[in-house]
Amino acid sequence: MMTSFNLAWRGLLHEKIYLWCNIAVICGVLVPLLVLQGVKSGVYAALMADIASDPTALSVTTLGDQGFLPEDIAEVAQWPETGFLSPRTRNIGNIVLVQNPAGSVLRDATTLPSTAGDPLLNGGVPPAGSRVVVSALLAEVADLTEGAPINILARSEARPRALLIAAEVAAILPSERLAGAAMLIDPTLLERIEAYYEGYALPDLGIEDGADLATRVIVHEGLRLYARTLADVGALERRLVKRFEVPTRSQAAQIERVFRLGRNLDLAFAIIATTAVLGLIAALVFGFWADVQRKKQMLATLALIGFTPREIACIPLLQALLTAVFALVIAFVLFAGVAQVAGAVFADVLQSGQPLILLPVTHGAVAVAVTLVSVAVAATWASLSALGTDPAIVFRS
Amino acid sequence: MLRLRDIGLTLSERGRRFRLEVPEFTLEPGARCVIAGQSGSGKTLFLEILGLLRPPEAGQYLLRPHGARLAIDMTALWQGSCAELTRFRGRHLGFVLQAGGLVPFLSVRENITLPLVLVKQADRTLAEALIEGLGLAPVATARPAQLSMGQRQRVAIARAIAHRPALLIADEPTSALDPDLRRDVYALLCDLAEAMDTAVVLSSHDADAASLTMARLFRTLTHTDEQGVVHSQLLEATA
Repeated sequence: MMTSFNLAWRGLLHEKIYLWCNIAVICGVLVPLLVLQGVKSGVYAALMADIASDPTALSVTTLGDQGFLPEDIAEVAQWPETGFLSPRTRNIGNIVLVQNPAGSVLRDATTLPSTAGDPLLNGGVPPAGSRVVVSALLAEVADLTEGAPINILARSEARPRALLIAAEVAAILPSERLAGAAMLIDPTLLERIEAYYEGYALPDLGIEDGADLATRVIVHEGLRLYARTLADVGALERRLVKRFEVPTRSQAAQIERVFRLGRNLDLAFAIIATTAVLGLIAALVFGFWADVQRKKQMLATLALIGFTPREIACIPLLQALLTAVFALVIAFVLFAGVAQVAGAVFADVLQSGQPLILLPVTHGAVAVAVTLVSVAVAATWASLSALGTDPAIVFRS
Repeated sequence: MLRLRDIGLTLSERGRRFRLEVPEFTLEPGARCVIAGQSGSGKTLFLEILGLLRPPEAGQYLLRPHGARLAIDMTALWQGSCAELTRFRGRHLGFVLQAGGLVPFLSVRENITLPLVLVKQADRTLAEALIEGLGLAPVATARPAQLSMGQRQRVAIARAIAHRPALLIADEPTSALDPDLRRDVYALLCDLAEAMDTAVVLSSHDADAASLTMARLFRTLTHTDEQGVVHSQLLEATA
């Protein structure tokens, strides 16, 4: 086999014109397909990145006040589509007042229950106990910094005394992750604020009068629900509606439109690529076969002096695969050049760092595999022709 | 030792039937013979049988390779695999073709040592001696296209004999050469074959080759029977 490889390699380099012709044929098909796939991937990735940059894209919001029991919450948390779940309190508990202890101004702030894994946190510090996470706007208007103390104040006309919670700012979220004057709070703490509004006593927080907290029946009025991935949003919403018959809101329709666009682009590319690859195989079949016919006398001489039919058949196959390797290297270099030029030409309309042409490694690997297989298939006829080489023709010609 | 007895082979092609018969053909190691005859008289067919390129329909074909005590039944090789037959041909037979039949992208040295690579013979002493002895050292790294016709035939002869075959088959090896060069090539073939105990079978259009090589001469004698079949018999010519 080593001798066949050696002869294939030397023969290939000896006839560089034929080598370049076959490389040109392969690159002529491969480079446009790589660019087409790259543009499709780049545009699609930009669309997906745009959606993914919005943390609410994964959310499925229940509308109005519903009644979710703790066991309902546990059930939804176990669904495979669920990425993050936190029970919401009633709307009455969603607004509190906050204050920098060093200042006197009280600011309204909306509250959201949150724990570790909340997509809004983006992997940052979660609220826990009396540590809260505030939005950038709230931090600005209330003059809050990370690690600073913060007073949370709840007032109810039905209660003689306001609820005051001394808390701490654990982190400040940028406005694209948490808009408005808002605050992420440990669900347990939020439950206590809601219990205050409902008239329960909270002795440890200085609210002595009211019903015993132990008698309170916990019913959550809504969910902060996030899907595991964008592809799960639609399924999660459908499952939630079907199971609990609650009105919901999500970006599932918009996400599905982008997914459908991606599928349609994939289908269109598959049709184009299949046609182009079949054309490539057809062109190479005759090219490689003609090559063997041209070299038949030499192959017969090799067979005469002791090369087995299998070794003879390997020569055109190895030459075809070596040609494909050369062509792949050149095609990827050309592709990289085109991607650079396209990126520069369309720099004005692209977001910073967003490539117009993007070829994921897996797509590149598929291109390499398809090219090698196509070339091997195309060389099969030539290889079979070489296999049947009759060494006696050197005597008769 | 090379012996063929009662060999027969019939070919049919485009309505023409041709039968070659070899009643007796024997050649000792180092001996040489010339096969002469007109075109289409079966010379090439006989070389194909000798070269394990075509099996005879009947008869006996024995060859004793160098170093072997007993002769091998060459017709039995056709019962085995094609790869084994090819390897045997590469190891024990050598071929000199009309136009050299050299591999164009290999150097002179690589062409000569190619059979050694195939038979996994690491000793290149003989090949190097042939390159030196045949005056090919100055062109050892040249490609065949850079050589004269005479040089190419010398390379072809060196390649055919570098692995010490038991039998060397030369098909009109001088047809592309001028008369002076023919003499040189014949002499070269004879000297090398004798030195290595290699039997030489040389086909030629002209019987003069026999006198040039002082070899035995075999001729093909043809006649057509009443059914239109062309019969060709290979017989040794008497003086």
